[in-house]
Amino acid sequence: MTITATWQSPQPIDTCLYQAQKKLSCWQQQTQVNQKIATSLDKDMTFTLVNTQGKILASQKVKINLSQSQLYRRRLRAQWSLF
Amino acid sequence: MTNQCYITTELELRKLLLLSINRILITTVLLIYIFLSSPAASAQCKQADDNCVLTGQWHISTALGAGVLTNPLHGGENIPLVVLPYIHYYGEQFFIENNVIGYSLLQSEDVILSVISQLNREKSFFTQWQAKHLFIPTFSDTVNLQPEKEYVNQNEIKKRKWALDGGVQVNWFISDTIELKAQLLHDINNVYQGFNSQLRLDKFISLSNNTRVNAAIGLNWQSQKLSNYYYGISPSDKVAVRSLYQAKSGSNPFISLNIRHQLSQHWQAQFFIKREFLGSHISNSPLIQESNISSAFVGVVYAF
Repeated sequence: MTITATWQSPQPIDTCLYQAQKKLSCWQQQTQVNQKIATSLDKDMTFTLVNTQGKILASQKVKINLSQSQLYRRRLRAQWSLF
Repeated sequence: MTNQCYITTELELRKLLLLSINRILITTVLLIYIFLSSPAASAQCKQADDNCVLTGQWHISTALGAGVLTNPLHGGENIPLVVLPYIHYYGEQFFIENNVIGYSLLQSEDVILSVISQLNREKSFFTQWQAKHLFIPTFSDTVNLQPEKEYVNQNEIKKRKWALDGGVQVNWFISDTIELKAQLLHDINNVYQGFNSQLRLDKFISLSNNTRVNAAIGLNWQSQKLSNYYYGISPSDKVAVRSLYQAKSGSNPFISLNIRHQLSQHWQAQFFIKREFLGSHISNSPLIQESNISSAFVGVVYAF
């Protein structure tokens, strides 16, 4: 899937975007960013924007809602049918 | 006087015939009504129930009770049904349902097309099921009601082999409670080198929150090669020339009823009965003693 990272700051800063512990992208001396990033999500996940000192500047939790049809399926054979 | 008796008898026969036709018509109309009086079509699964299953999980059950699958062959043994294991697993596309393995290629809201493989059942009638001696008293072989008919005992002919079938299956969920299934299979291990197919219409009825009924009617079609491999008699069977038999293709209609009552989270009471009426392509074979195959079982099921 593709996510869009958008942020802005009054002063130019060095930052990195993390998906949990995984580093997705970094920017140097930027005041604003609007970038598409390819990634994958299979469960609820928190994205964080961290500066070079390790301070979390912003965070966003993304919740995954699996569609019902993927969880349950119609059975295709008669139950207890011997043959 | 003789003519009067003859005329009276003929009139009675006509009345009986008309009465029979009326009964058949009424029964047919009732069956059609039962099958068609259903809620609007929707085959989407929203939760796990009798017809829907959670994907990605193995489901293992064991039925314990008493039942039998009759064997239509001369010299064949009825197959006891005492302990029945049952396994099913559904992934997003892959599935296993006891003796069937399949992969769904297309899944729309109402129609699912799958490729499947399953063991062909015909060999089971030519197999000696020693298990019956372990579990239950021996069934007596059915009395031959047609002693004048030339017959061949299945123990005296060349061994028939197990066949593994493969092919396509289409499930059409006409509504929440009606399903039409069609399958066309060919043996994939080169045993009989023919086809078989099944058309089956299921009706699901909820009698209460815990009691479900599944009634079905259908037709099993068997190609000439399948029928002849299992039920034909050739010179290689080394029997009398007068017993040679060339089987043709044909169909076996069947009806079945399955009733389940949920007793607790893990326990379920189970009853099923099925009768398949053998077509003349099989029933005329000298190997055949009974022109139908019946199965029945009553017991309890434990789901692990």
